[in-house]
Amino acid sequence: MKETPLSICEKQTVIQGVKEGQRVDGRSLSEQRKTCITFGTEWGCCQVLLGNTRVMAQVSCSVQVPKSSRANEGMLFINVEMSTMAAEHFEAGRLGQQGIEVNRLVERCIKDSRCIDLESLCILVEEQAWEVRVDIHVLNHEGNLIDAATLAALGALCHFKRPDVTLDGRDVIIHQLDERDPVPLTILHHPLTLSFALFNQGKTCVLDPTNLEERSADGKLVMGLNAYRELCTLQISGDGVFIHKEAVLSCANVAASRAVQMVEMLKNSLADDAAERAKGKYTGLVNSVALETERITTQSQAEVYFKAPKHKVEVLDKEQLPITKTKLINDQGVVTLETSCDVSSSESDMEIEPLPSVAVKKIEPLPSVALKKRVHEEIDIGNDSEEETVMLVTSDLT
Amino acid sequence: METEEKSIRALKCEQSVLSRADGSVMFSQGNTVVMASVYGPLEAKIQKELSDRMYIELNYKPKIGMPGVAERGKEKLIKTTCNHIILTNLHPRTAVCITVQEMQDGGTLLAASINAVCLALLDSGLPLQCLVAAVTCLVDKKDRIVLDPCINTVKEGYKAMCTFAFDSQKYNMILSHCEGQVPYQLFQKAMELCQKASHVIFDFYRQAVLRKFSKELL
Repeated sequence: MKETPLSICEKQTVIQGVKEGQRVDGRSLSEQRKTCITFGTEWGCCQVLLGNTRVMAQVSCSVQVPKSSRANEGMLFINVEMSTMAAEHFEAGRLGQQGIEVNRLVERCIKDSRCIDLESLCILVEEQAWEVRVDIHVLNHEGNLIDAATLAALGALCHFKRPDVTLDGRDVIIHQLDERDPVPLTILHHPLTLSFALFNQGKTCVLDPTNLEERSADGKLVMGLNAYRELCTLQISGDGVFIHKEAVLSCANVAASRAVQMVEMLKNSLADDAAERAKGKYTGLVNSVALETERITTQSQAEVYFKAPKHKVEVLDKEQLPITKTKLINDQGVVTLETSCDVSSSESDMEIEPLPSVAVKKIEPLPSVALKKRVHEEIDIGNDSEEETVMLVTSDLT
Repeated sequence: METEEKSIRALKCEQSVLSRADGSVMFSQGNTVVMASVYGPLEAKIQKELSDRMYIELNYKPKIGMPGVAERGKEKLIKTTCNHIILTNLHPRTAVCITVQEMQDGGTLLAASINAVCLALLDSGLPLQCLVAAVTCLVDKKDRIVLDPCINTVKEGYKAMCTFAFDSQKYNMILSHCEGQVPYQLFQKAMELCQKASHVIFDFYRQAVLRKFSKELL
């Protein structure tokens, strides 16, 4: 399906607002949306929420023959998947212009900045090496896919662990995950991208644009930086946009301090995940179903027990062919979920008490929506550049 | 009739998770997490247009790599189930686009996908004939029936794994899919068990809808 066209008045509103230093969602020009990073049960699964933009990345690995030109290195393959789930104009299995742009930028930021030590992925020179594959699934497109995709890919790579390998002469033994502790990838630095939408002929730069802003903007400036404030990627796109040298430098300053914070946040999320895993009974993404508590519905394990007809399983004799039951369903349409039951009859599944009926439980009154106050506070972010960048940070107080 | 306690794993869902889709849901059943989105009714492509009913496009996306034969198989099963529950003749010459994204594999992906698609359809407000609930059960090597098995049980090996889907009106069977060999009697018992378990899922749907609308009224 075609993308819904953008009306002129919508576009004008955004442009006029940016001229006055205002944005549709109430952020300041150099403010990012709320970022949330969650991990799955498998190693190398990372979901990133950037406002409403949602991206998931999964890392996997396999043993391959290394390239003859780089015989002592493993391989890194990055694949971006966009399906109709993310937006109506995306087609499953076919990357459009936008998809190719995202794929290439993520590749440039992560692969070309050589943040993964590929030499450590080599098992036997010219014979065997690990190929690490990153699949990035775009789940919801609400602008700034590039930043979300890079963050998800980096998060997944940091989280990933590959099976351990030992060499016995020239025989390669790959240990299963339960056999020996898996090995994390060697990550040399953490590059991230930060995108700016360019308005007003490149005079105004807007950090972390939404879909509406991206479509109304003249162009886009993408910066890839790591936590050491080193530039890894730089791209300016758009039709006939001129951008001043000073504007690029000030954007770089803003982006650098943001990148430091983002990497810090990613490391904190990884540490939280590791602590959660150590506790045992880790459920991964199941927790992220409850990201917005007002919208979820849960049925706890205690409520899903029901009375089932008891089955005696006997080994069938050859003479005793099963009699074909014509009537499959005895009590059609009748929900037999009575509370009273013969407890003594069950001998195997006795760990829980008979529970009250599974019938719809009365939903407890929802807590009245607390008025959310947005408090703006000015925070000085100490950085080593000559001019200090003052940033606006909002915090939601409930 | 003798009874015994059985359970399916904890269910959890979040409706309208995606801002762009007409209907979307993130559904978890135990450790299995699936996301489903529905767009529609949309303008159908000329070659896909059906003159008397709606065309259903279904994409199942695996976590790793491109969709292969296994994924196409799942797509087909979910699609036939959808064909049965959506009132397709109400919207001729249009298309509905359903996407299922596997997010975490905790066993029983097919059943979880069908349940997620049903919740997403419910969220989108597309006219449906009935709801559908799918339950998987497994016949292990000692001929025991394990209802709604988790990934560790599946990995231990099994004789057969059966998935059944039932409608919400008369709890009749819509879909039956079986991998492996199973004696007929056991198959029948497994089906009966799954049919009972489907009531729990329908109750869960009811709760989900109640929750959604009670929030919107606030």
